[in-house]
Amino acid sequence: MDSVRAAKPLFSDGLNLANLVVSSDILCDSWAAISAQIDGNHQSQSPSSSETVKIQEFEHPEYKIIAFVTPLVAASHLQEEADLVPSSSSEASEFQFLCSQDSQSFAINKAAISLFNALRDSKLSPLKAQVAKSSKSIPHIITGGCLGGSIASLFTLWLLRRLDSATKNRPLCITFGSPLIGDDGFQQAISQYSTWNSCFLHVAHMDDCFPRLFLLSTAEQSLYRPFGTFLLCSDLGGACFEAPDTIIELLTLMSRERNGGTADSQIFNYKSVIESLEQRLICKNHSAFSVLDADSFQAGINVQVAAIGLMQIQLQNMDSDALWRKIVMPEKDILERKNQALDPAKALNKMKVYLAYFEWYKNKCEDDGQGPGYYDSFKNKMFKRDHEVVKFKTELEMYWKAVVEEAEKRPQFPGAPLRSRWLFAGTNYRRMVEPLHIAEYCKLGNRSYISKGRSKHFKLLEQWLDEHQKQPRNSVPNNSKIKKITSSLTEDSCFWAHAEEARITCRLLNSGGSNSAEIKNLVDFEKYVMGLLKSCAVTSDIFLESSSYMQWWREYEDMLSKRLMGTSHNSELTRYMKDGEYHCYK
Amino acid sequence: MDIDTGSCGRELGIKDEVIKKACSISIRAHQAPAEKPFLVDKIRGSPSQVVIAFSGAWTSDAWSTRDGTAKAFGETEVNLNSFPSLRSIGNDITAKVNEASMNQFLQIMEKSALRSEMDKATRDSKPIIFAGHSSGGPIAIYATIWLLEEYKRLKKTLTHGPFCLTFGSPLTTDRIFCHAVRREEWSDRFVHFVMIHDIVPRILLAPLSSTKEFLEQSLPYLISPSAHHKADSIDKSKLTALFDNVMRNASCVASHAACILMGSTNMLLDTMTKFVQLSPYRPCGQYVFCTGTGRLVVVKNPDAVFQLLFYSLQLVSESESQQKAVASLPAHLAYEDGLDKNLDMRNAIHLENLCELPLSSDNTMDIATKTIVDTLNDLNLSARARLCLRAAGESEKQKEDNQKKIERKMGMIRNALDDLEGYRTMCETRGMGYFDAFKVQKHEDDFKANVKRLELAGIWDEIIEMLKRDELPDKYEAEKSWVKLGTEFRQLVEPLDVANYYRHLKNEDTGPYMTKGRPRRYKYTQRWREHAEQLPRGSCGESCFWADVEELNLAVTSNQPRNEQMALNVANKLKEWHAKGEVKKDAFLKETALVTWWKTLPDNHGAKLCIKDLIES
Repeated sequence: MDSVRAAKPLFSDGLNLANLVVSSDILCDSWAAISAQIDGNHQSQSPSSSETVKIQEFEHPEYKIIAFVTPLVAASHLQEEADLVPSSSSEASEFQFLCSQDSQSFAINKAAISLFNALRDSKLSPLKAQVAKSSKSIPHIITGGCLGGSIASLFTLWLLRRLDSATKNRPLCITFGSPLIGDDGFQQAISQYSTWNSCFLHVAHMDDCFPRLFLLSTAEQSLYRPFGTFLLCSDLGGACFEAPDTIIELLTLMSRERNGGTADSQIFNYKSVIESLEQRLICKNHSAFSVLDADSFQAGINVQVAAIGLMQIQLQNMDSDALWRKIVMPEKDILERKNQALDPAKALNKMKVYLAYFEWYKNKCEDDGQGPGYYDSFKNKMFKRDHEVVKFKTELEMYWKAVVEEAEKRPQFPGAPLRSRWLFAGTNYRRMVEPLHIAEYCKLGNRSYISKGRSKHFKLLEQWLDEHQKQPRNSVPNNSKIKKITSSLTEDSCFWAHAEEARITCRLLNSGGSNSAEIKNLVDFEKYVMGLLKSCAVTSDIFLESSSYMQWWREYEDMLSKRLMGTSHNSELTRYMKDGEYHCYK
Repeated sequence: MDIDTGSCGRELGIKDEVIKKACSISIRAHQAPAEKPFLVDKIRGSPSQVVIAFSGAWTSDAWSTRDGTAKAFGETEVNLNSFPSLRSIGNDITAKVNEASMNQFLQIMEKSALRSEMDKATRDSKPIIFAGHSSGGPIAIYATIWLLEEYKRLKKTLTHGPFCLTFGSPLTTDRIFCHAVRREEWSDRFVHFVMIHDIVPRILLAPLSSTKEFLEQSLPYLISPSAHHKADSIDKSKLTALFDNVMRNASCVASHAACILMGSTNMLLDTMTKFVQLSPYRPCGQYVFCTGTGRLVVVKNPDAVFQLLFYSLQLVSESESQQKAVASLPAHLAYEDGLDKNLDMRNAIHLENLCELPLSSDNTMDIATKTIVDTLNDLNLSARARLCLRAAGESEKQKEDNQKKIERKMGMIRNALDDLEGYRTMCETRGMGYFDAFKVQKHEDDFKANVKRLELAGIWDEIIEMLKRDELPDKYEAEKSWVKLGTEFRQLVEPLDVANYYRHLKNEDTGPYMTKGRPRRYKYTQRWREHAEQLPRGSCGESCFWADVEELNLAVTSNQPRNEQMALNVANKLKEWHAKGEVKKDAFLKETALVTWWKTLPDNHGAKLCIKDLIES
């Protein structure tokens, strides 16, 4: 029952988003904060250094603005610093956290990262702590023009990393005429987290040469790629775009139109740009062309392109096919991909049903204490039920493998691959189903399941749960577990792998005489089981008479009587088992 | 796209003469002395009607209550005791209105003869037309809702029900208000006339602080018919500033709404909302836009109306700013003349089929399309405005499609419920209540019932998710078939959820089922029924008394003192629900959790006596 909305995008909202941005006060407030500092900064012509960067805070009723202002730089000067610094270098170490399975490396513009590093300890660190604190009560706009915008972007990323995942007041970073700051690895790393990507709004006027500086410098194909949302504007109006390819195409088209744009070393004044955009808000927009009626999406993009004053060029130099391919398609693709990714939760309910089948299977295999338990039943595959359950096992495995793989590549949240709801469902699955994997593995006579046979998705699910529980706010007091044993699952999903190993060790000892390593293994296993029993972390089905665990115990007891474990072996577990205390474990 | 060939008035269910009369009385009402907040006039005919027109007021104390602490747009939640329908049912959000105008209405209800005028007209089966121009509009809206609630409470048919006509009324109701009115199918009883150049309908889209001076000083002075001609005396630059400010705010909130209509996935929108103040007010009811060329355009889709309110007042060019601003005031005072002329033309256009609205003019049009294109041009709509209207139409269509989709699932729900009903009967023949059997999970049937429970949960959770995201039509939660099915589902399946909850001892780490564990699918469906049958909130707990029984039993086993209030409550309610057939007799079988608890009660305990007969029989 997919909701209809999840299908193809019908509309492009770039104009409405631009209108919303312009009609609110955030643009003019941000620019005012920047220009308040530029005015006092006119004389310095030396290249930016940590001393010449100004950072100032401005208070507004609804938000605070932090503005970064760097001295004026010559475009030619910046262009010389177009090099990219790879993420592996020490210079980019502060942003290593952006690397993940899916985007393993990236590169940042040298000028931006050097300036960031120069400011880091003296100014940015204390600022980060302060903003993270006050973000609890009021949202922040972090802004800057030109290179100052690059610092603002890097600072915002750094801050986002620090903010609690539950932070409601995410910052909004607004840059004006900033050069691009990273390559496609950088863009991909940021867009892994849609909430992070949503914190960036880059304003770029077509007459401003800085935003496209690094696009021009590298001839054919630029290494630089934009991220976040771009508000592109001309004297005719503005529109928002989101797809990196579309933005690059439009920035390039703009530069072709303007042949250079601003005179070198002049910071572009966005004051009049913003004012003109504001005035245009309430004016009817005249489209000088006839838009296609059929497709609302393309019509929307057409209107957006016209709004930034590019329709003329399009008519002359670009056939409509190319327009479609280079500008409309990337925007449409990005929306389609988002729509598809919107709700992977639907199958989760189906998985709950499959897990219910397992619960019933487990129940049947225990058969009120008469059966062998589901581990051994599945291992022996004597009954129809053991074969029927395979289908659900396969379905669940396929689903969870895919979910884990996706989460590893694209964490559902920075620092937390799976959100709690998924992590718990995955944990239930792991505890219920992994024993059957172990059963299959050991049935074939294989050894060392944990090191050789364990599927990666089980390992990760366990690891993620551990990490989750390490965070203090996630620990759940569990004082009433004792009553819960019967209805829950063994916490360590590898319990049976340990038990199987213990059985094999027993047999080895029995046939080959004393061996200290094997004795140690068995002692460790005893301790391990006792530990589980004390914390009620194992279910009582292990004590079913025909279970593998009880088979181990009988073999072990036999060994003890032969004094194979040494003459005076007497552990807590052997007492527990011999005295029949386990009958009361429920 | 239909082109209405009949008269505008008849199409709306109200005659032309009535509209004209209501308009002129509404304007005269402004001239009445302050102690007379409304005028009454009778229209003879069959049936004869009564027009009650309000003047409203733009006075300082009325528009900026509790200065300083007041919300930027002066909104407040409605009182659900007076207006029980004005909320979303499942999501349980109360509608908001402009506080000052609501207070005025409540004052009038309390202190004037309005109530007796209403009673008189109702007694004589004369439909009432509530009307208001300008600040009188909101009062007329509330009065109409008030009477409609009365009809609903008394379960009277709406044959002689009230109508509401407003002329240049400011927006004072939020989107939940509109949602509720559409759900109750009252929407067509509200007709709002708006001159497209009139600033006042848009004025509350700007924060009150920025429009206060105009609303409190200029407008009240001009609004009396005898002062209309003084509109010229208003400072033109001030008026232009006001116009720009209102339009800028209108642009902000209309763009935001349009992004949502277009299904925006750019989360920047989400981030932005923390930094932008948006007016909560939205149109409610059908709108008649009167264009400068004298055309009347009827629009019913509230999202489209909202976009039109902004786009139809856009400037053609920047230089036009002052001219349009200056014209926006006389436009507000010109309804009587405007409607008089226009209503004679009898050529209202109904803007429907919004998804296929032409974006531009081309030459190969048939006459019907040409009329629409001309209308859109008269409304001053650019391509981007038309795209917004398309999005409004598309959004409405998607909601309807979603409902059709879930309606196709009704059969599956039905079958699963039948299966569970079979399970219940089978448990009974085993001598057990199905709640207890399910909790023990001993037989294969128990397991199968669990699978059915989970399948149903999947379907219902998706419906609830759609409601939360506002992806179903407004009327959905009042659809009789769904309320009935939801109730059946809840009464039969919720006990299984309670059993499952306590079987897994989720109460120990999460808390009691009722406060911590109850799924939304049951909360929502319970509210549906309570709303449909006008029962007190929280009264339909017949599906979850097992949770209380479990808690009472837990208290017994852990030797806690008995919660006497809860014990008595459960017993009394059970008796009542059993009498109504909502709780079946299998709850009282031997060895159910209920009977186990009952046995722990001392013989003379009120709760024990209360359900003694039920258990012993």
